[in-house]
Amino acid sequence: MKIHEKYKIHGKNPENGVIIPETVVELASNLAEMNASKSIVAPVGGGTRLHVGNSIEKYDYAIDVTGLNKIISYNAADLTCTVEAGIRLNDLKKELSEKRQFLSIDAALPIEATVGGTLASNAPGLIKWQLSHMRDTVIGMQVVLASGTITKSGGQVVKNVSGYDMSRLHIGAFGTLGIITQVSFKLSPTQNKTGTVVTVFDDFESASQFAQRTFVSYAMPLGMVCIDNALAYSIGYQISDRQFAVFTLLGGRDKAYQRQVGIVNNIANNSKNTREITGIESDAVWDKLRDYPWSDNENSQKPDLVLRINTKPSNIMKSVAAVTDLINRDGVKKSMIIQPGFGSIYIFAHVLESLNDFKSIELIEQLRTILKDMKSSFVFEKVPINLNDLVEKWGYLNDDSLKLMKSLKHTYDPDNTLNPGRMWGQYK
Amino acid sequence: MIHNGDTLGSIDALVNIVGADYVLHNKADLLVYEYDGSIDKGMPVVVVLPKSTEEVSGIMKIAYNRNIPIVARGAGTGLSGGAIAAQGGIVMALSRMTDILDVSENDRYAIVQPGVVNLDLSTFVAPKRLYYAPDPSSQRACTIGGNIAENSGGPHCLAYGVTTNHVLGMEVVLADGSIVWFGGTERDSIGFDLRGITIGSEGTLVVATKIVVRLLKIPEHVKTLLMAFESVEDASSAVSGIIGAGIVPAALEMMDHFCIEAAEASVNAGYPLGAGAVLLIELDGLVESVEEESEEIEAICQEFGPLEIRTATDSQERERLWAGRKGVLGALGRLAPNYLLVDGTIPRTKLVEVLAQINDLSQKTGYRIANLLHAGDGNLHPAILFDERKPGDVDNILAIGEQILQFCVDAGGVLSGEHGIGLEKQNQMPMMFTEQDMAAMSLLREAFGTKGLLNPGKIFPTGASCGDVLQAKTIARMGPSAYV
Repeated sequence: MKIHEKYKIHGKNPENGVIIPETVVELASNLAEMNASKSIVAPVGGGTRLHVGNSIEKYDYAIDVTGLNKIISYNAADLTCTVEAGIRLNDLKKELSEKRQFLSIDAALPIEATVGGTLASNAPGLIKWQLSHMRDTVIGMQVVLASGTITKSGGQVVKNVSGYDMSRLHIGAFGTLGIITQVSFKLSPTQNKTGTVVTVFDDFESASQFAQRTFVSYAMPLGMVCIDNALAYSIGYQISDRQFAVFTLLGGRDKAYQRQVGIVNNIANNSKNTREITGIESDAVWDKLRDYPWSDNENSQKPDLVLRINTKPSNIMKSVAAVTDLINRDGVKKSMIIQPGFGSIYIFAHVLESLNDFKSIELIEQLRTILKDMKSSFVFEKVPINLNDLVEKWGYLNDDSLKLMKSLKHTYDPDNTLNPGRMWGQYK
Repeated sequence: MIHNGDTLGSIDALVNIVGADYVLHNKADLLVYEYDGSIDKGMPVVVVLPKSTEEVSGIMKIAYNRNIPIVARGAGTGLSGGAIAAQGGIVMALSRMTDILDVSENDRYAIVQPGVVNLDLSTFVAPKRLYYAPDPSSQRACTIGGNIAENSGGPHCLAYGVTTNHVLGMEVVLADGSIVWFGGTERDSIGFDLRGITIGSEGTLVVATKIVVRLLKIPEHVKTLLMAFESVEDASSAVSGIIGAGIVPAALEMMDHFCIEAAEASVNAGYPLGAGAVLLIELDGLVESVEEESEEIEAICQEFGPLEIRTATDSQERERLWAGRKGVLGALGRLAPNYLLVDGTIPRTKLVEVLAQINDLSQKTGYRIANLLHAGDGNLHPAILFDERKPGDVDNILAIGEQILQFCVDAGGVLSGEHGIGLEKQNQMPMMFTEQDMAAMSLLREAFGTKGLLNPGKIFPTGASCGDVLQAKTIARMGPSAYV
């Protein structure tokens, strides 16, 4: 049997094949059978994030959820919709944009990525509307448990405290506790006008100060990222000889938008350093930034190491300095994207260009140690493929949290059917 | 199973942890803890008032090792019986844990103990031009810990979200006394979202002892509008028009003519007495954005023939308009000796339809129903007016309340928008959820190792008939301190 490249998890194919159910009942029935026969199952959406997480020792079946791709209901006047989990983000976006609405989830490769996979893998996005998390858009969810039982929680209304909010359990659980099959979202109205103010700097400290001053101003950025010149070069954006660029995405009704552009320009304090881009040009920059590590770029290969760090915004300077010192010491080529307001740091490196396997593992272990010492939350979203089975991808959790997570896994998937070992090594 | 003998036997051990002054077991002392805002009732055997996480942990260990039910309690303002000791045992009142431990202006968060009063936090951080967004109407009294348990909302959650959207991390104590951190001061974290799954779990999974909350910037400009309409239908259509046009105000509240009448008699808020319904709309943000949205809202409302449109010109007038809204429940006592307050949410586009059903039901049964709504998010609070001294009234209004919830569920809505399930609605859960849904939910208690001791007898159906349970515990008789 020839298995499509999409289903490979760190080089491993499903040994018994791929099931692509067209209804949730069919999916549930398949999963119940697989569970009864002690098979190991990996749920798959668009396959854009199967590289994230620890390796699976072997797996018997892939359940491809992309056959469940309908919009169940879309109530534009109510700003809510319910969709099957296999719908691609772009397909949903297109439908919503006809009514001038959008779902504030901004995951990479939206042509391929599905709603379910994006939620299950807690996919990052650069546009953080009002700095909220994508889980805040979910108002209801249907999940098929490992036993094949179909369950739901929440509803299709924007305010609801009826029973436990089970959707929270499955967002970021990498399909280890159940398969997301249907999701209800609250939507947002499209901004009348959006645009990006690009501000360039010679050093990271100045860029950080600018970001901090913007956040305490009355401007309300919809997204803000700081990139280094290596990344700007990779995506083909010219910042000449400047070292850092901050992209501030602003939106609102016309007057409110213009006022915010004025505020940001004032903070930059020198019009030579700023440039406003709008329309397609603005959209294209954000698309390129979002997809950079996962798609072919104009001026660089895809990085072979992607490190995602979550920290307090005020810790960013310290964290970036520590991590980049270590990487630079080994002469590894790297670039980065930082979200100053949200506190996320993404480091992209081309490790194998400079280091052998042994040295690469050593670098990863050293990075893990310094991030642990700084009490940062982190995950290696990608490592060189031949190191996948050799390093722990997830950052550190306290023992009691891990114990609870293990208990949740044991309670909801006692036979270890779904994605065993993909999260912490302790689950293996 | 109730183990109240074990509870009495644990008093010495509890005294060793918190001191004799903070362990209450005389009946007179316990009476205060028998109720919450719902008039549900349940007498604990002992009340203990810890001051620190370590004391909470010690108390939980005693309860766990001796199989004693334990209920964490904030200010007791809840409206679904969440803080009631349904099976006796220990009530752990967190009202002494009132420290604001840290405020980070740069990272915009605060770390608080669970007994901090909601409004006190916003007042404390106001000099830094920050505030905590979830604002239950009881915010002058309710605590952040209680808000966590109930995932509380508030009038301004329309634009800013409910409690779960504003909590970054929590230190919690598990049933066995272990102290664990879920999340932290970062805005995202790795692993299962243990923080998210425990917020709104009504104290049945963990007890939060430190809470990291997100703080927001105080907006540059606030504008409050009062719109009066001839009928509830016109006001509802205006609400649908506003949301459908893609405008999400900071708050969008509705009151019908019963509420207007009561509020005017009580606080003289300046509501027009002849109106069938009023909308209270608040916009905030940049001056430009508030003014543009305000103009658009006025244009939308003109389509539905408003009797009056008024803008609060200063903070005093704004407060007066809100005083009417916030005092309306207490004021309903002027219209009838008792009322049963219902809490359900529907899709916003169904407001006209469901309010018409409620009106029909009122006409058919002869009971007046006052409608108070967080209309912007479809959260209804019909108050069924009655007199408990009249034979048959209690039975009748309970049946009406259940019928209204059925209207909500049939319209694609839910059983509770903000009061929680608690004791009040546990037997209506099957209206929304299958046995499998509820079984999957209740497995959480197993996974968290609670032994069923944390706030037992809540959320899930008891098996008794709905009428029996409600009648036994619900004679709604809220005073002026009731909030929604």
